[in-house]
Amino acid sequence: MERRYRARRRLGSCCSGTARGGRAILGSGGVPTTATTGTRGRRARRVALIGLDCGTPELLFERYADDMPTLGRLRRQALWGSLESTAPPLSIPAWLSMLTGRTPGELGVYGFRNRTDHGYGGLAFATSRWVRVPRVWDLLGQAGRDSVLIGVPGTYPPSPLRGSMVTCFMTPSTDAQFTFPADLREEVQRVTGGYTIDVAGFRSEDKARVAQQIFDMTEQRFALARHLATTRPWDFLAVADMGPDRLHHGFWGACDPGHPRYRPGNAYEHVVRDYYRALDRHLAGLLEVLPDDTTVAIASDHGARPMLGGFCLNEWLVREGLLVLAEPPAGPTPIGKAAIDWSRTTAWGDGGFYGRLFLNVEGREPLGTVPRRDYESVREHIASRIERLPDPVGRPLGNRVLRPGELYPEVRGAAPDLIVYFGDLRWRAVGSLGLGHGLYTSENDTGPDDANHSEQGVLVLAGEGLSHGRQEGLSIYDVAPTLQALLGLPAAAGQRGRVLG
Amino acid sequence: MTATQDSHDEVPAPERAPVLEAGPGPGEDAYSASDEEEIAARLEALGYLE
Repeated sequence: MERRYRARRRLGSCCSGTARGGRAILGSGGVPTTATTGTRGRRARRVALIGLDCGTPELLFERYADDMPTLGRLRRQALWGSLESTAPPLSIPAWLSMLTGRTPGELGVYGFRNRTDHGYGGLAFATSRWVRVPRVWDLLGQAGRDSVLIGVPGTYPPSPLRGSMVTCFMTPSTDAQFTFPADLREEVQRVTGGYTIDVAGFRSEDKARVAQQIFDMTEQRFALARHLATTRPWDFLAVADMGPDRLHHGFWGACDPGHPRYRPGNAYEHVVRDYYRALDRHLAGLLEVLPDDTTVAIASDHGARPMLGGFCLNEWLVREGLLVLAEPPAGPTPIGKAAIDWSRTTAWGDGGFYGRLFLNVEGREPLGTVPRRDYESVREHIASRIERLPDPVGRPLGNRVLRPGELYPEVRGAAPDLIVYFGDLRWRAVGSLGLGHGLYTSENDTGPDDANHSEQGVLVLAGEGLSHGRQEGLSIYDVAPTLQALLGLPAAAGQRGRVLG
Repeated sequence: MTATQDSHDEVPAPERAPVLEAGPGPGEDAYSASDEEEIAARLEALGYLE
């Protein structure tokens, strides 16, 4: 039985107006009725990108496919499949890459926080100001055409564009300037009844409250998308919903019998299914108001998979003698606050859903110890040791160790020397020291978390002139050049990927 | 079915990539110190930072 979540009060107007070009002609359930077998020559002049952060092919295309009739109908008329994410598969680099056609290496963005130089302290959040190349809407604006953006990661602080923007979950609060133009803010607050940037107090055992917030946030995103789609001129509409990501991190273990935390009959066993049912209704509501010449793209930046535990990267480096502490931590201590003897340290790491390992290189870091001539041999030694690490019961952990120079055609900024997927992303990287767990944690050090990211997201692309059916080998780098081609824009200089059709 | 960029007459081949900078562009910091703490706390709770 579907668990009922309290519906928010009616949000804004659903179908009160029309975007330039007139009322949508959509089939039952909100599926575009435009032919998908037409000639290739015609270009759609309008594209709606519906972003589902952490949208996972195993859920959207398999487990909950029957619970999502709108998506199913759309998919039957679409080119669709798994979409290979960036390395690492993390929201900020992935969304930036999706909408620029550039790799994280070219963008110099490897995570939410990045080293700003090769010192020991400079970590800064990657914001819209880190993006030095045009995104799809920038190119469209240069062509004198309009965009509407809602919640697209990497858009805070807002920057001028031809059109309207509501910034992303990296916005500190609605006290900050979170719209462009600035006077859109009051309208957003009015239409949504108070805009929700993100789920508050996520790491809580009050699961009912967290679930309700996720349901509400998604409802609100789609209500705002309907409102702006029908009250603003646009050629490119992009709305990104963080709901799936928050849901997976909070509730995967409650719903997946394969997850170690799963308990049959638990109160949240069907919350993910119920969420996707609700999401499908919101999707139908949005498709219903899109003009008939709209090509619809549903895309995610990465997928999700069960998280089995955490590996304490810096604890291991200490044990290996590669990270030397000036004094032992008194308790749980983030690596950035640990007393490190840099003059005797070879390497340290940052944690999160994947591990970043940095070498302390002579002439690069202030107190570097690894001679440049030994860089490769030291790096390979550490990589080899990490690849052979066992799990808590002695079986191979199955770690993957990646080298930025092999992943990206260019490596900019202060990139990690190694990127580590513990247990091929089934385990997270724990960067803190002094946790008292040994090398393994069954939960991450800041509380429960059910899911890690996976490298496969989703893409569903439906519109006139596009082929149908499942396609293999889709890449996140294909999205920007494809959207641009659909909008009649040429590929930007240096853009990766190919045009799907 | 996919098409390479070369197969689309309407999409010219990309020019040579321009030189890119990395890191934040010029201008004021995106966050105040308290903003940064707010974002960090939220992302830590979500498991993104640790």
